[in-house]
Amino acid sequence: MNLGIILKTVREVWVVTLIFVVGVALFEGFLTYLIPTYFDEFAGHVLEIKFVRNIITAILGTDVGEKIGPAAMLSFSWVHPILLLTLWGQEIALCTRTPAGEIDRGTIDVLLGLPVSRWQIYISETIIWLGTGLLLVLVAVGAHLTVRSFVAEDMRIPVDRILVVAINLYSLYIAFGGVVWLVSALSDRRGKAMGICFALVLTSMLLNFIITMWEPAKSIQFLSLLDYYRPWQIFQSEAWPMRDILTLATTGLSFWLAGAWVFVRRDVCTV
Amino acid sequence: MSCIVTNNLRKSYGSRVGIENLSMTVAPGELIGFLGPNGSGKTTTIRLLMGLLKPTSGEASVFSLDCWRQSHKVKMDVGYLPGDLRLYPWFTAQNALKIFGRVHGKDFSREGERLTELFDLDPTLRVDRMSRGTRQKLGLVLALAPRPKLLILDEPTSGLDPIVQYKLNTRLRSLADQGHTVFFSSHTLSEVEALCDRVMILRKGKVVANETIVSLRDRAKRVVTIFWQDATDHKKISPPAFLTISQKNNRTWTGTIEADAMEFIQWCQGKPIVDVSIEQPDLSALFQQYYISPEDSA
Repeated sequence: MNLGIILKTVREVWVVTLIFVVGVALFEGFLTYLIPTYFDEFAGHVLEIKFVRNIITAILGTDVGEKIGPAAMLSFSWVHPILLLTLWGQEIALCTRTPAGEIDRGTIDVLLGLPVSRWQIYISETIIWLGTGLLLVLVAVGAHLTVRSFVAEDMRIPVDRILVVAINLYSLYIAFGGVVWLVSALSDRRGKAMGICFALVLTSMLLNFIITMWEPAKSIQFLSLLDYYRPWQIFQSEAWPMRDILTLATTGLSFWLAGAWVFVRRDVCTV
Repeated sequence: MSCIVTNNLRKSYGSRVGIENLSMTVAPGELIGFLGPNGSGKTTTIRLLMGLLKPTSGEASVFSLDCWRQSHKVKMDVGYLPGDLRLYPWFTAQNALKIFGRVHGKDFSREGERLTELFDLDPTLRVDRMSRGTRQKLGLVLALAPRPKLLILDEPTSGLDPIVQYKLNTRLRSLADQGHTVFFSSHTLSEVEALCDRVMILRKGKVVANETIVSLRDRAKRVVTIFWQDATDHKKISPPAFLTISQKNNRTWTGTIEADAMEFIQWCQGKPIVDVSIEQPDLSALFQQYYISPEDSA
């Protein structure tokens, strides 16, 4: 870790992070208010349509049946594609900066001309990634808890369950971020790295949908990161999804280490 | 202890060779000019020294530290200016010096202030509003501010106006006099000739010359002109072996000498000559010999 590199990174990412923070807060707050308010209308009619039910099953990761409770509905606010894309988009924007972005814009020679090891650069950038990710998840929790006080009491989810979901969400953030770090370490062009990462995001989401509609796809279900993040099940039970959290964290750590291994060993200069 | 040592250093990019068996030693306090045409391997060598590239084979060390494995320790005492300098668009001299200072764990504000004044650089101007020359000045300020033991500068005068070039050259000379080592690449022969103690010339990844400026000057030809008393006198005289006449007019001979000037003056004595002119050694012709490979000239 190097304080100078951390300062430089903060200087570069604070505006973008602030935009994502505002986005997450508004979206999570909006859904937390909207879902309980229109719960009766939604639960009464929409689930009768088979296609919509399939989509809900894909999003929640499980078939909720023909009747949906408030917990299942509220878990939407934690798995909504917009929330996940916001978190992953922030990761893609942040983690592709070094080394792919630095090589692409030609500043890598200046950065590596400084008396810091590549490990120090990688770890300093990682601290910002983990810090901003934690901030985004906490903002989502904060927005949810703030707006929750304005909805009917029987529609509220216990705080401890929300915190478990938040931890699971953060582990999902770590898992995907690890992948982005590896892609960035292998790339010389930021646009290309971002494109690959977005393709992975879409593939993971698509896989979740295909699984609900096509039985043979279930054999590769374990490849989808979303298979390890199921807020509805967390809201339904009192158990901790330790297996899912550990799988995601280990996946993230493995890809992150692979990214570090590549970055520390490869030729890096402006191309 | 040598400042820079490379031993059979080689870097290839697939089938293309960047540099081939480069061996050199740079002593502390030396001011070395690193010359060569585009694609000759100057920047590759500099990037190997800075630990940006991993050698394919051979070794490079700075202050007895391995340039690849101990790169971050090497850079504690190195000021570096990249060839194709690109800085963060939000950088100003002020905030860049603060960040660089934090990275080094030192305070560069005083030295930075001195340098920004020397190069006439607005410390609050953002990089995205700077001209190319101004960005180059900021790059130099950042490289010089830590007062490093070794300065590695890749074409430092590129984009600078003659006044700033002069200021930079004076600064580099003064640093070398104080024991700092300066290793810089350049395309400008006159600059290298005026500034450097030694010059190293690369061509197609290989060192084709590694000599002091003094010894290069000794080997360089001088253009001489002989003015005869009248048109018929010189017809009976044949030039000595060290004098190659390229042009004979009515009363003048123009040519080049390979010997030192005193030998030529001695030869002139007692001959019907009214005047002679001897120009400075022409290093550019010598450099061009090194620059142009035998295949190119064919």
